[in-house]
Amino acid sequence: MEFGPHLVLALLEGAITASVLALTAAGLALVFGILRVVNVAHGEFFMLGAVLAWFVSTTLTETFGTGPAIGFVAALVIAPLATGLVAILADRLVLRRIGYDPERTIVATIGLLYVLQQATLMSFGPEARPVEAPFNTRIALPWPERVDGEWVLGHPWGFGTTSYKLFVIGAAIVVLIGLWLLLRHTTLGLIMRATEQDRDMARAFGIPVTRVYALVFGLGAALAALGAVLVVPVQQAHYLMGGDPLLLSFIVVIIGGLGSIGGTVVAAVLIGLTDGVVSVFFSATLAKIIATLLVAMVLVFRPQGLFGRAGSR
Amino acid sequence: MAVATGTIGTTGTATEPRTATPVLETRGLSKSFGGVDAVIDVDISVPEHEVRALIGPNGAGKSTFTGLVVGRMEPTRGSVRFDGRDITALAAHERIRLGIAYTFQITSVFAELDVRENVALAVRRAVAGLNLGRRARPRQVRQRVDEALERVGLQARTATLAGDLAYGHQRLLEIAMGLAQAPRLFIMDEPTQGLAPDETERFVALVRELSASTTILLIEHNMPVVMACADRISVLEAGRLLAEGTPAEIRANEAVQAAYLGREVPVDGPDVGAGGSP
Amino acid sequence: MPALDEWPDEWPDKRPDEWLGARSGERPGEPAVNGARGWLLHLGVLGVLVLAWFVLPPYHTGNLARILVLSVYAAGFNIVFGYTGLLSLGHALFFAAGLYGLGLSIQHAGLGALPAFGLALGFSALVAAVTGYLALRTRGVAFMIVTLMFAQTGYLVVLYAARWTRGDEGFVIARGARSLFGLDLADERTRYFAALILFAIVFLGLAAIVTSGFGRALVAIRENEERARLLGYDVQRIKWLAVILSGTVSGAAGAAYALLFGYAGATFASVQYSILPLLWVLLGGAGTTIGPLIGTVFMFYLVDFASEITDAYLLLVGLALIGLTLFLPRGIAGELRRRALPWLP
Repeated sequence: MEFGPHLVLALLEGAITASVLALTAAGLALVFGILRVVNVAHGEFFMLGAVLAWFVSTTLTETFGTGPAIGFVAALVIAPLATGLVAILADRLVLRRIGYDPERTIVATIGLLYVLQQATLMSFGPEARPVEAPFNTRIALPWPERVDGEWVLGHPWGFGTTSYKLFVIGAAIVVLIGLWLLLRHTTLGLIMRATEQDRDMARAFGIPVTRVYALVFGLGAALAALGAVLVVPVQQAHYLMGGDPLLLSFIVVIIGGLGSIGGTVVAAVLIGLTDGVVSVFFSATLAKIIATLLVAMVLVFRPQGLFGRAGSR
Repeated sequence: MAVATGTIGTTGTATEPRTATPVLETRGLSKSFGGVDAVIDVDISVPEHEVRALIGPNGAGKSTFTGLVVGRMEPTRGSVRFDGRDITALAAHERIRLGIAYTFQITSVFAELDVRENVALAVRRAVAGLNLGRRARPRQVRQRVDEALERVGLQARTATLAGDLAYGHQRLLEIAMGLAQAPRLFIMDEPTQGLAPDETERFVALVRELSASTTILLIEHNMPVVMACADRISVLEAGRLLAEGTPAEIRANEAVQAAYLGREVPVDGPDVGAGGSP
Repeated sequence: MPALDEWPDEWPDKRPDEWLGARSGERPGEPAVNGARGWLLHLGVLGVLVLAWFVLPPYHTGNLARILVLSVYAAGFNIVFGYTGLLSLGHALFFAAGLYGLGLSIQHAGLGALPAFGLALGFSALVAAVTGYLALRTRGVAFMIVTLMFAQTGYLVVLYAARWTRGDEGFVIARGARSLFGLDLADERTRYFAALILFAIVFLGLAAIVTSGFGRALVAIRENEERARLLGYDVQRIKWLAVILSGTVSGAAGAAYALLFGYAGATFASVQYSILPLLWVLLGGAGTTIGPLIGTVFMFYLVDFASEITDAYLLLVGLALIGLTLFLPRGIAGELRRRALPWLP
């Protein structure tokens, strides 16, 4: 395959990474924007989503003999919900008790990270397990080629994608639009934004801040889990799969401006596409080195990220 | 008000010593935050041993001004001179080291450390010069700590945690920390705020005592305190220097009254802060 | 005029922890190491550790050698976290700088143990100086993330340079290369006492530092940075010096680990090794000199015990962190200091 198609393929892969990343990072950004805490266990919520998706779809397929499509749809609904509930539990048991103090929360969520990760290791095991996609037809993509001196749309060998991969991108876009609508055009979204702006004022207006916090924390976790469910037919479920999404989400949220959802999405697209391209053409490790250093430098020299408000924490 | 020799008069005409360099001088000092002009072209000159009060309505820019003087923020324009030396480019900690002490509007001490350690930290810094590794001799530190605490009357509480002190005592602790530095210029931001009446009385007496050995710049809202302690008063309004003079001059100044009280009230109006005996 | 101590809100002049219900916090109290009690405690601890060699069975002395080196790492972290109040999530960078600084120079440059150790120290100090300078331009959460990112970069570089570092697999340093002054460091007794000597130097040295003017300044910065600044303390420079000191001590631990145990691998540069000293210090007591040792001993044996039961021993680490944050934020020595021994440095 020539360079052109190769690049397009890399971009497609990057687009999938970006889609999933946008969802995961949006969850992290939401939590940071409204609760003002950094959840180091965010990657583990992602992992939980994937593991639960495997569990649901496997149970349905094996116990009830249903097809992969139903299993997948069930997973799509159940996994994020269950993960959200786990998050709400963690919020009530731990975060609320330490008063959402930034430093203590980081330490506590590090603990949570290990608990979730190792509990999964104990129950799920150390192997990677696949989940079948609900549909997976190959789509050959066209590419202009020169044949006998004329430009013709051909289909180079190996240049194609699958319907499922396109679905992932589409689904992510739909969910993000839904999130945006929720935040901008519903009462719940208004309540969340009010709490983000000024916690004490919100309380004075009768908003049950602790409940909002629990809800937001759960929602953030659910978004990460949803991203994982979407991507798990492409990758596989593994108890250590939370590490990369955590790092990448961090990068996205910081570059996009902590607390700014719009910036997060743009940054996710940038990072996802770049990561896809660099990983295909160069070493993945080098890509990560550059990304990691980039985050540090942005924080040092331009702490508000690319889109955030100056002075936001 | 008894004042040590060689200083300016108290009431009546103010005579400034012409030959001595003022301890503090600002020229055209200004600060803008985005669209808001908090301090505009303020020129102030405080000679040695004077007690200067800085007053003005809320939002006049008093705290911003002292923030600029002490170095907590950079000016948009203008300069600050300390003992004749331009310190505008110096960072806050460097200015403090030159001999300025500062107490915060909202009392800021080391709540989890005991009273002795609070003052000791001030002493060690003042004594150590540039080298913190060089241990200030413990006896010397102890002595200066005890002296400072005695001057404010906290000598019986050296082992108490600063955070466990009553609010008034915490303010006194902060003053002791300033005293321990033996400063040339002592800046206090609303020092009597939150003090009970008898604590305030003691504070006024303390300031009178102190002016013999240092120069004091006081931001205050409490008019009786200002009238009792100050040698001269500078009035800020909306970021600008509105008036300057002795307490009597300021009290009679109509522009000042207008700024504070609105134009309808007569000179010796009902006590809304002005007048009243200390 | 009434004297101040006759005022109505007069409290009896007792020590705070003698009153019922009075709040008491951290109290450095009198400079303790200058006082007899502090010296006795520190020398006593060292005495016990010397005795341990003769009393304990080889399995435990082997563990103890490892624990001592790791508690030097914890002590390094404690400077920045416990005394200065900066939460760094990237100290593995310094440990790894020492580890690989020594390991690579012995393995690939053929240096002797002593010059390699010196090089490793210098390298750690340099890394600390550079990353510290950059990271200290941020505060709070941003600082934590920046330090984490720097450490991650270090880890990734170790992986990327696998040609020399052998990445995750790591490399073994031959026994022959690990000798100091003619003594074979792989020998159990030599190794134990080498670890103990390093520990003693750091233990006593840090005790002296934290009770000095510099150490007091660190505490002041932790307690109220703005007040310290407006007392004339050059807060940025002091923090930077603290990071360099902390990084060098952590690097010394890393170098000692490679030298005494003969192995260097990428795990030591991973996030896990940034989290562990945090855990040890939190458990033992942040801002105390004996805290790091207590925390490391405790956690080491807890994990040791847990690994026999399950592969998922890190679960205990997680639960311990959550439990500590919720219920024991001051750690063991911290609580001890608060309730009984206010003179603990």
